[in-house]
Amino acid sequence: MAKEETKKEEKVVLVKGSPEWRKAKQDARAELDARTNAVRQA
Amino acid sequence: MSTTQDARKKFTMAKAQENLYALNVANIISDVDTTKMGTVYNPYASTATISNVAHTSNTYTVGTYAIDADSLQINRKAIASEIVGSYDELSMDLGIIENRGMEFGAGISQTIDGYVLNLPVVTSGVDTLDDGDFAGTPGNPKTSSNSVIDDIINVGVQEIELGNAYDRKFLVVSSYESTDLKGYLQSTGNQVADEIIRNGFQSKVKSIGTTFSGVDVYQSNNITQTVVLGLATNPTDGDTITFAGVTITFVATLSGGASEVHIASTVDITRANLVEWLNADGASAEAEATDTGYSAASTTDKATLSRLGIVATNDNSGNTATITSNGVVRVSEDLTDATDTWGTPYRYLVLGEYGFMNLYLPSVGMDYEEKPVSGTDGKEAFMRQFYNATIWSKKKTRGLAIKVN
Repeated sequence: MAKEETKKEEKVVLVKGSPEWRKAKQDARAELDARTNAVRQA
Repeated sequence: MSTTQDARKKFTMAKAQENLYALNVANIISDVDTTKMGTVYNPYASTATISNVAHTSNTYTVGTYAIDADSLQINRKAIASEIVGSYDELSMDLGIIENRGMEFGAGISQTIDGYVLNLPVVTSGVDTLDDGDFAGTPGNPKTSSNSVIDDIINVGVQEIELGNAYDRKFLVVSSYESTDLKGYLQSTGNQVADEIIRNGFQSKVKSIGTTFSGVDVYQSNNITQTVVLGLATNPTDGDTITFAGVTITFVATLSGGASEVHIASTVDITRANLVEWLNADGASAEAEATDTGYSAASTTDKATLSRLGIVATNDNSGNTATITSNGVVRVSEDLTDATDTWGTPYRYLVLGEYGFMNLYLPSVGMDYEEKPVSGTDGKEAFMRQFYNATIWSKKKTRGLAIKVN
């Protein structure tokens, strides 16, 4: 059981160019922008 | 040197100088001094104290003035130098020496523009407006569009007018904001728009720019841009990023191609090596080992990067590289990892009263030479301009930067 939980936490490697991969890129950009702006505000 | 060669050299010098000044936005918007070399001292004193009272006696209060002890050494220099082989010179229709002279003038001009337009961003005491000044989130860039560009200009003007900037004003924007402004004016369709709808914006400054509500608007790709690259996972062999049209390839083993960065043992080291490469304008190569190795950019790409005044910083805790350039450039990436990407680039527009920045561009500091090169059948074309620029203390409220994306 413990072994299964560890498995779930592993990073999912998305297929390059897939819709999920594109969505992840978009989300990453938004997250990066938010993080950059937060640093500048501090 | 024959009479023909002498005449050609004079022609080249004249064309080079013409390009140096004609393409330069900084030369138009700044208070330009072409006479001084060495050290200059702050030319501005404090405002006068005024006694404003009802008359009750013949006495009055004597005020005092203050002059900041600022000084500026004109010790920056922009240099372009290349060796032109005699065979190339004689066999090409192009007139390669003349061509290089003109390119030198244009390149130096753009470099000085980038330096001057960056001053409001980096000078302490000069305000930077951001989204917070437009009822948004402080720190965020203000997102420009054809429906808010008028607001951006109006609020900026209001800010500097409150700092007593009453003289004629200018705004330097990138192509993105000039598109927004054109869109705004086209959609309003009133008379003020006609000139821009017909002619577009001035980008080669040979006369006054286009006016919006009393502000002369110039378009320049040399305003300051910052962009953040998120790189938290070591790239896959063959992954690329592109900055200013220069494609950098991450490779497991250097292949001998240009602009390759070796994938190191950790992403932090790979990112640090990339930052090192960028800060050297892609001009350096480093021998390959486990945690080192990159190759120089191509000649064309090195020239592109050399003009941008790139300052790149690595942040291991944030897994980012931040790249600031004296120029608006495009970025793209082809990184396998789904969460590694560029952030949205943001730019700094420059708004101010004419002359709020002082540019020192001494005539004696410009030189153009064609030097013989020992052991080489050719000559070195060389051009140099000493310069420096500053925003003196008294002028700091007369202009500002506006952070936009």
